[in-house]
Amino acid sequence: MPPSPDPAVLRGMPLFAGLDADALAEVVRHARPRRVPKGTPIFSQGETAAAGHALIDGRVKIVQTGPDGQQVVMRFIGPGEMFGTLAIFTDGLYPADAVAVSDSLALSWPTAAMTVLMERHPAIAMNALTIVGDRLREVQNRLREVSTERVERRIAHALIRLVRQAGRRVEAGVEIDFPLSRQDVAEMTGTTLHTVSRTLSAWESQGIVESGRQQVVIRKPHALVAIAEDLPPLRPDR
Amino acid sequence: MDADHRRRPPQPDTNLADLTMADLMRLRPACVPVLLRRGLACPGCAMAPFMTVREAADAYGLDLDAFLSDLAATPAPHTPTESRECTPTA
Repeated sequence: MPPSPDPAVLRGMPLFAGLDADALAEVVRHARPRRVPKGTPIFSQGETAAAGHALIDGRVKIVQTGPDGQQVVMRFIGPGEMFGTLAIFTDGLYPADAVAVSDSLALSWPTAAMTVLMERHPAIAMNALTIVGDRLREVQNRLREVSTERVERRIAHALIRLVRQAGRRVEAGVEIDFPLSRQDVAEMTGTTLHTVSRTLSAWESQGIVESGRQQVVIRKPHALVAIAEDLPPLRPDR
Repeated sequence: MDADHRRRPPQPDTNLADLTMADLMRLRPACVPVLLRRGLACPGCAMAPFMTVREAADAYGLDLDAFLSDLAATPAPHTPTESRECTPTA
């Protein structure tokens, strides 16, 4: 187990925004750090939620499996984000799997400790509510997209959402800065691997994106936004 | 600052061209209406932190110099070294 982290790792985390240094020190005293190699599950769907979690470094995929085995990627968690906390507010069971998709460092707080911290520092509970609210809004947007939009727009929206979360400027354009497979994109957009491959190949031939096995670079950001938002076409070569 | 600023006609500003769209909108909020008027979808866009003014002009097929003149004509209140309230006018 890595040594107890410095309270500074909590700075900038929306869950703990507004806490003073003493409160942050108290929060970090209850935290259990854990290194999670790429590919390792952190918790599993249906398990009793023993803890709430926050990611310090790396990337975690939250994926839910239906009764028929069909998987849906709920979201990717990046550094500074909380995860696995919904169970604290609901039935105490994790609603999805969490798997590290790159080498990660996570903190966890036993459910009882997290509840006590929220009672002692209501700002944490208010922050959690804001985060849950933001995620609900995102889920509502995705539900609307899945219900009403052509699959091409859904895929464009999914990539743009990932850019907002983990975009990085590179020479060729804007890279999504973590391993992302076409299967992941299919599971984020409620479509098949075949459809994602066909769509990305078409975009590649137009020079809009470039995708490796686990990597996506947006070469023409505006063109992707134009697809997602149904913007009027400008010039065919853009 | 404004006295000096007003004497010069707005010049195409090469620095502006290399700002990201997100920085432009943050540093010079008065540019936002200019962007909307020209039909740019940059306000609120996830790509805005990654694309420069120059690249946006290119993507939208705008004349860069004309675009920069429009942007430079807006007030720039959020320069890091100056405060809005107490700027000594030389």
